[in-house]
Amino acid sequence: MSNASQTSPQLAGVVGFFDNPGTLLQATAKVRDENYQSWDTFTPYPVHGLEHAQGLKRSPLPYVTFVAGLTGGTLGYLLQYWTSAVSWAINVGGKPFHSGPAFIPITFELTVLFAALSTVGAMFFLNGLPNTKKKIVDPSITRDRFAILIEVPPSVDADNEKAVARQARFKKFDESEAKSLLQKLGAKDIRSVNAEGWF
Amino acid sequence: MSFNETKMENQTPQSFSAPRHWIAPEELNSSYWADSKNVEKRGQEFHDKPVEAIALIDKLDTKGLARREFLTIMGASMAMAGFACARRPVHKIIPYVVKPDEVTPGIANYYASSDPETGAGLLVKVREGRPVKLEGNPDHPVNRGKLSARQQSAILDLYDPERLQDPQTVDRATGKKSVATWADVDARVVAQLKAAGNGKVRVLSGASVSDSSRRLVGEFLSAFGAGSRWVEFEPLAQDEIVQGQEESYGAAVLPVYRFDSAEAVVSIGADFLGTWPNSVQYASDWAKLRKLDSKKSKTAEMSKTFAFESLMTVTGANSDYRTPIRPGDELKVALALANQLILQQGRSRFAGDGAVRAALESYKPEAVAKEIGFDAAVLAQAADALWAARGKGLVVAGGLESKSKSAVALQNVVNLLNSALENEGQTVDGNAAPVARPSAGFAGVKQLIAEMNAGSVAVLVLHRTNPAFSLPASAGFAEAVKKVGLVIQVSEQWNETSLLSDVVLPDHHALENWGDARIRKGVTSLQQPTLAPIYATRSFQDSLLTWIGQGKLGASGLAARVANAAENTWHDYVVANWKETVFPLAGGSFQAFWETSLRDGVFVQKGVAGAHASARSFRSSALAKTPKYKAESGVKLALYASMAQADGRTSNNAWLQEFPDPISTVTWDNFVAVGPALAKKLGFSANDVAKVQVGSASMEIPVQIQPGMHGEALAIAVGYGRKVAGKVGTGVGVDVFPLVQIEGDSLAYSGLSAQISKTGKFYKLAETQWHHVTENRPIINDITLAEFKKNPAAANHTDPHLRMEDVPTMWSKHEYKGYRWGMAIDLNSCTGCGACVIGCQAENNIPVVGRNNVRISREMHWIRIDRYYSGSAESPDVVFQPMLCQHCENAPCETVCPVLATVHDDEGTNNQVYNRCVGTRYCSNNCPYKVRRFNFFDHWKSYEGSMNLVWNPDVTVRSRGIMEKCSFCIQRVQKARFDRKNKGEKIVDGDIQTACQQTCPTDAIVFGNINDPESRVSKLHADARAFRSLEILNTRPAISYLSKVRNKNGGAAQHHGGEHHG
Amino acid sequence: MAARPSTTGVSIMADTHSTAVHQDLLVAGNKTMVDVNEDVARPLENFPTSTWWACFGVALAALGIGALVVTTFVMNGLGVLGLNQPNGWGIDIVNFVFWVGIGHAGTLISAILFLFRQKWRTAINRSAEAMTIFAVITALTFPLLHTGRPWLAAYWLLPYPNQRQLWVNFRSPLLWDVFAVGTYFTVSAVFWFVGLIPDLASIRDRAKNNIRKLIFTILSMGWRGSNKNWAHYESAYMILAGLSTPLVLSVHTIVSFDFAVAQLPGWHATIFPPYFVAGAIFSGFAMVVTLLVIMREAFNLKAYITMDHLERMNKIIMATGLMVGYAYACEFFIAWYSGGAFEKFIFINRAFGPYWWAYWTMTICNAFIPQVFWWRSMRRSIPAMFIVSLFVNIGMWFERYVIVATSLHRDFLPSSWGYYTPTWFDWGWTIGAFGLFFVLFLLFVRLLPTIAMAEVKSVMPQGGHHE
Repeated sequence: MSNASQTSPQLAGVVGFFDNPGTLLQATAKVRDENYQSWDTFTPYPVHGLEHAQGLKRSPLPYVTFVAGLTGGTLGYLLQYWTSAVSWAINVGGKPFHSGPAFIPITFELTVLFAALSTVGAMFFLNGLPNTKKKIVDPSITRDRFAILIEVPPSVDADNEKAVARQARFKKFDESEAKSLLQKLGAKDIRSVNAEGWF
Repeated sequence: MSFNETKMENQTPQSFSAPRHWIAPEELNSSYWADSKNVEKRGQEFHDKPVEAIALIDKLDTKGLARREFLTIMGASMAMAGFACARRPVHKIIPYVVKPDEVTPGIANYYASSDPETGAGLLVKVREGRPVKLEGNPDHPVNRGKLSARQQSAILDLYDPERLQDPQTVDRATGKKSVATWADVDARVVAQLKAAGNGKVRVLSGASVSDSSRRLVGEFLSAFGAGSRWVEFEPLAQDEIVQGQEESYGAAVLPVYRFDSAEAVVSIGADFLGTWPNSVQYASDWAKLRKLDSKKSKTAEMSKTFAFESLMTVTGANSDYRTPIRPGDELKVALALANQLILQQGRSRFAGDGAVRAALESYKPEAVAKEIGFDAAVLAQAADALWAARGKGLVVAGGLESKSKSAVALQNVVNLLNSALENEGQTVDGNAAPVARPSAGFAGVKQLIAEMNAGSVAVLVLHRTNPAFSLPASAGFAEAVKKVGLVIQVSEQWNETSLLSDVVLPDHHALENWGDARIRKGVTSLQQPTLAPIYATRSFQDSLLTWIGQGKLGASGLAARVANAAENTWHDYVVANWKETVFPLAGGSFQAFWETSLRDGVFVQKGVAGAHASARSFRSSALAKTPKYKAESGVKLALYASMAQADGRTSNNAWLQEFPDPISTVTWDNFVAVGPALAKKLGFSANDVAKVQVGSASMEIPVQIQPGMHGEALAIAVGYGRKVAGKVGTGVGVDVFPLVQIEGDSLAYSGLSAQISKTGKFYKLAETQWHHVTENRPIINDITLAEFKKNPAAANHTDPHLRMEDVPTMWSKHEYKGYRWGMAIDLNSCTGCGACVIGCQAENNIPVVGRNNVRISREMHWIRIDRYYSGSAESPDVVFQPMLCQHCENAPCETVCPVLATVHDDEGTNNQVYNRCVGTRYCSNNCPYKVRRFNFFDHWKSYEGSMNLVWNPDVTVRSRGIMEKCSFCIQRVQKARFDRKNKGEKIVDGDIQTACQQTCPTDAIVFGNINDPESRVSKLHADARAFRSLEILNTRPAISYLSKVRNKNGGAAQHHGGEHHG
Repeated sequence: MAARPSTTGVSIMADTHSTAVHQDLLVAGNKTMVDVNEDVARPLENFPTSTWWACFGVALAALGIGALVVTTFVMNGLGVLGLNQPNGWGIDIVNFVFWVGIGHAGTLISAILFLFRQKWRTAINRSAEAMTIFAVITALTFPLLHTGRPWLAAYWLLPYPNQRQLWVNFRSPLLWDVFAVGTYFTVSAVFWFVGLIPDLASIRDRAKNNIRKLIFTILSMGWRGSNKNWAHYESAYMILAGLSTPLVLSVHTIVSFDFAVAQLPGWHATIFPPYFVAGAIFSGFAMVVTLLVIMREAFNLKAYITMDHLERMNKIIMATGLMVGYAYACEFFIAWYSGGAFEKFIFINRAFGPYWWAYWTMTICNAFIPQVFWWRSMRRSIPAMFIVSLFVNIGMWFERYVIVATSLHRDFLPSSWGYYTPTWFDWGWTIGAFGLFFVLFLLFVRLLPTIAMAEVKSVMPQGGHHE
């Protein structure tokens, strides 16, 4: 099969499977040091420490949450203030038009609502969900297998110096080299994946 | 005018266009109208009146009609057009090409009239020709603008869809009725009358206060020779008083009592504040001496009232000293009191009178008190109080519950006392009564029955009476009437007696008829129609005239003249009679006199009305028949007239059926009232069904445990258990008239020896109040006069938490510039009579909910009378508290409504926005006064057909699923506002009267602007007696109550805990 | 804690009775990840058992009764219920609070236990969250349909812009409810769905049936298990847990405001928020236990929902039960200590008034019966915990009944005192609510993975090598 893949014009990348998270972790660290431009790992459940091994930056979601929460709370309070004291001020039970304390519960609820919904929305966005383009690497991954995928970097337009320069900073992708790397790192089953295979 | 034209669109099922006014949503789709039944159903509400109205007008036009008559019909037909339009195609209406000056759509007209039953002056509010509310006529010297609950409710009878609508002929054998035409009926009647033969015609009717009617009937009967008599019978007639007067003073009159100058009052089984015919006037008079001004507390004076009664009545509940006695003990008590005063204390000029001494001798106060079981000191106190106030005191007795076989003897003793105390001629006025009229007691009927049995009655005309129901079976009316050739009943309702009649003629309702009334010397009031007859009815008097005319019966005098004249209506008769009898007292031009009288509704003859009475001398011989004292024992029964039902003639009036009895708060049923002691002895608990037996008659009836009843006393209200009354009234409660005993020429309703036993059955009475003591809560206050003199605010310190003025608030309060509406209710004046409840119901379109809904406390009354007991269960103190929306400044209901359906306006009222309400009922839960009312069903649907005409167009009819409550009669506030605005003025104190205030006989309720320091209400708010209910909650109600003051010794401010009387 | 040599897992076979060693065992029976998929997916991929059909039929019938009753009174008016003038609210609100309370355990288990790193939650959080969502749905039917005009209440309680500038009353606790329960429902649902995504993906990947594959492909939103995704995913999940925790506490706090903010004696108490929250957790956990005990039997998930899980929940039930009991006692003390006449009366009336039976049912079921969990054998006995959990549910229902009915029926003015008796319409609606809840829950156990597979795998011995 490897021969076939070598001749393939639209090679997409090389995937190697590991049967437990431990070996995956070590392997991932190595692959990271190889400084490939585009690669990723796949696991049936979140493996702790993998993000470090993979050298991922901390997720920006908490900031989203914070800002959204503030917005929700502010809007919530303003809505209550405006409707009760500005738009149509009515004497209710002798209470002041601007009954601050009574507005707190709803302010709080709206803070949480905005924060939660924006967080999830942002998460979907960052993860490219719903994902319609990329097919799954292998059905077994959501069951019990762990994989590292080293991808062929996207081809760039030669005139675009920036892109060229950027790509130059990474290790150049070579199929056999990648395969042997994975081999070396203890991957059980190593495959070249073709574009038509999953793109 | 477009108002009407829009209504003229043809809305036949064929070419359907949605009615602009509809009753039920389904009427908006054509399929509903496609069903002929529905079209018909609506049709029935108004018959073909518009058509007939035209006919009537044409007739009148030809002879030029009286302005008011034209107006009435004009208005009426307009109303018909107006109402018919929403329901059925209208063929003819009277368009306002020329609008009568008096009628403006949307603006009410008020017509003065009077109530033929009691002679009270009425002010009828008419909208677009449709009477919608009755109020008292302020110019009438007797009821002075006030009405009782029953009088308020009369408007509903007018629109009762079950009123007789056509003449009926009845097959007496089978009781089968069939509709007849007036022509046929008249022919038959006239024929029979002619054939009657000499002295064989009788008229049996309720007591009449109308001079014109009396004259007409007299003249009618004169056509049938001597012996043809008119018999009057009223179950509630005060004939024992009349008879007593005759025996004691020689003249058979119903004296007028002057409670407004009676500083000491002793009532011996007389419910003058509740069920007496003139209770409205007497209550307002009595209350005049109960008003207190805290500023003058040091010198405050207040009348002192003693009551000796066999059941708890409104009078007893409001008296300062109330003594429970056995039914039938009234005479003993009266004699003991007289003995105390005249023999023991040797007071009065009768002290030396042998006949008097002989009569009183054996009634030693101690002995009597011991036998009945009260402290003889009460008699001494009463005697002292009466003597101290001689000439300005009053002893009264009489009424159904004291109408035992010794009722007349009782009256004689009472007369003796009043004469001895020099009250006669002062507070007892024998001259103010109108000319002597035959007693409406049993004697006349008894003779009539005898005559009927003897076959000496050929034609019997019955009017406004229901002997088949209100006479005991033992009187044998039903059998006797079988021997009468022709029985004609003229009645508004189909009732028990209708089944014994051959012809039943539909009578006008009082608001459709002419008439007059005289209940005082020099005070004659007029009754005028306020709408054209709704149904094919004809007034009793018109019938008589018709028969006289058609039959050429040769009646004497005016009747003949009118009957044979071109103008032969009852209206013409009244006018003619006034011209002859009343006009001479006035002088001037008759037309002017007549129109003034019509406008005022009453003609008051200067100098005669209210002239100072002269004392009559008491004949000691009246006491000759007084029996010697003899102790008795055993349970005694008193039958009484309830505030709601009286003798049961208004059974089909749903307002009255759902009117909570002021004392028991029971609706929709009567019951046997049993004192706590007796109940304990017999093992009765509330709502057990008891078997009550008097002689051979017996019946099963639920038990109500009534604090303040004697250990050997039972009481049951008459007027219930109608067998033929209508959808509402038939079968409500138990008929106890069969228990009435015949004693010679009179009926004994009280002092009946009775056996009572358990049946093991259970029947839940529909009470509106389940718990009867205040549990020492800061709700109401009462103190004694002595305490009040020391410190007028005494009552308000009975609870340390009261008075929250100085409590700091967490936020700045809202300011109320301009008007701020508030109310003050004087608990010391409120007698709990409940007139306000029905007044409010009529004004604010409050539906009835029926017995089962009341049972689970879903009654809708916006104002309720809370009644609390204090002290011992055997002889408790009572205090009434009208409870309605308090319009709190810090309204708890408003805060919790999620949709702002109840909010404050800038005039301090708490408004309910029906359209916005979604019915969470949170407001009701959070209302400490529980005055909010939720529409669990579309209750308004219980108003069928023509009854929908009673709705007040100024007030929304509420749909299902929304909350409602007292609005401080905001529609009246608005009216006053606009009336003043149009003149560019501000509302002044007195412009606005809420419905409850308007009808309150004792002026206990005052409404007004509390921002105006000069208004009555703000003065009362400032009174030291003023307190606010549950002030501890800092809801800051807009209603202040003035604490109750009792004119009795000792007894510091009553603790309202007491034991549980529930 | 999950970092144990897998041998331990082996040493303990399916039997979970005895020895302290496996206190921390999270998955028994030496299951592999493959087994996890197999076991969890089995109910989805096979035709429902007759037991399931039976339960479903019963639930559906109950729902039918409810629907019938509701239609009747929406057409004719609330009068068919037992409500009256003092008792504006009845068991419709009782049921509302009861179901909202049930709804709390779910988020609590998934959020709070997650924050506290209580790994044992993994087995049960999925079904607990489902329970939350269904309970809240059930609860919401009550306040809406018990209004006089539900067709308007449905949207008039929302501050939507309209030409008449009619707004809502933000001072009303009922409005706070709308926002609190609304937010709670939305966030819980989102939380639940986010948790489901990876499992939906694994169902997709093992699906033979094309339709199922299609459906789950759509539901799983094309999840691939890429670790870049996992990073954001975990962060989001953690944040949601962090948000849900105060949220879940706020919701029942605000529900308790419905009563505490009113000035009715028996309602107007500052103790209500903590007391209600404790009660909510109490009843919620009881309901979870009830459901799990059935589920693990019915779907043979004993290995995942172990005795340790149940025992832990029983401990929480006992703890919260003690809190609730304390609240009951405290209310009485405060009533006496405050010296408020109305306050004193209402509590004496509760225990010895016409509704004494409701009060003592509540006290016995909530304060006394859970005490059996002091004994370990009881905590670990399936029948015992099943019965106790049922009693707790009954007791908590009566707690709300006591609060709503007895406080209302005798308030300030003795003249307006009354008595409230539910009619069979009330009961029919109550049954219908249980129907609705179980219909939804039974559908859930058939159609979705009832156990968070990805999470379970992460705490399995085999999954434990990475720390």
